[in-house]
Amino acid sequence: MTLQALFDKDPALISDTEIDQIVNSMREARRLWALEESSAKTQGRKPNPHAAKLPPIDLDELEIKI
Amino acid sequence: MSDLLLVPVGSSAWLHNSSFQSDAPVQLAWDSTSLRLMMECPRKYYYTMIEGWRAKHESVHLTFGLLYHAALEEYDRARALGLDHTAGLRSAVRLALSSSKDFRSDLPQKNRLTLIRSIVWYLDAFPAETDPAKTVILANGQPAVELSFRLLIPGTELTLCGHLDRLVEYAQNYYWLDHKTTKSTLSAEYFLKYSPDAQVSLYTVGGQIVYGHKLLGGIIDAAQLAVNFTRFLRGFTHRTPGQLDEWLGNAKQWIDLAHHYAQQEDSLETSAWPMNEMSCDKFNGCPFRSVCSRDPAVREIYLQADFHKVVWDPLRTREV
Repeated sequence: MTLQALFDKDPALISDTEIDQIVNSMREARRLWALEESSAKTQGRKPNPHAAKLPPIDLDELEIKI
Repeated sequence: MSDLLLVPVGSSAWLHNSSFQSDAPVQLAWDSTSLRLMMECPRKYYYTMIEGWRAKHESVHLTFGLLYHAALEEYDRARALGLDHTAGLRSAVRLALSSSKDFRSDLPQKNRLTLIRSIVWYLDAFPAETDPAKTVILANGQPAVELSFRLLIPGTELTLCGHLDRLVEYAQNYYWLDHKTTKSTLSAEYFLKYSPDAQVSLYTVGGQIVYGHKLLGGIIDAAQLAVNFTRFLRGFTHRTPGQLDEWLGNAKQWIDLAHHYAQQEDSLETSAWPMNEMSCDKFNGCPFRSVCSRDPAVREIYLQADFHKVVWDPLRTREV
């Protein structure tokens, strides 16, 4: 199930496995962000703020559906 | 969970709540929110605490903060009950998903997605196992989270009150710990604004009800919310007994001033509550600037359009 679908699901019906799926997506984004911050520091540049973007989520869509 | 209660816009100017005298807009129970409002601008205090107006866009920040706090509190409770990090995190995320299901926001930094992301990133950054700030377990076996306190100012009818997110032991001393969210870039300078600060001083006074002078001050875990990342930084803020005595005297003088305005014959007219024009562009810009900048005759129209009425009652407790 995509992150979008998980966010759209009725919270009362969401399973532990699905919660873990959301958590893992967030962790992956955190890993990417940590990598970007570290690389930026090494290279003496500002981190790219889009490096940890969560691709499956359409924010506009999300705001309408939830 | 919340001190916020949305109410229909009515004809009564005074939105009464239990922290006020019943027959006049004289506030007897003060929290840091109402104190700050009065310190910033008597007109802002009047609009917010007495008439109950809250900018619609401001409610997004408040709601986001309350949802974020509640989820982290859920984690603390779960951990204190013996659940491991995975189960505690799951519990916090589940609560956040459920309590935010009707949360609407136009802010790309503060929406449901960034809420869940920030909770997961924070709890993975500061898991109970390795976080040197350990939640205090109270004598009744409950974790010291979301504690409401009330303190009667001796010789007066006045109560100071507030809610402590969490009491922690850190390097053999006690602190309260609070979470802040901001869009600003975090650095050591970010924490300078908490000294002096009414909320920090009041929380320290409140925490000392439990721990006396063993409680040195507060820990602020700040979260910088961006569209695609959340950054965290922990800061400490301390208060000496002398600073706290001075703060209590200072707070009392501000309350006396509010009572002076509240006891005037026209206390339910905005004209009784002077504007502090030096504050309009401070604190990220006062939300009422769009109202106060208009002719007095048309201000009500702008209030009705851009604000809604919300009860903020400092005496509503949060304990479970």
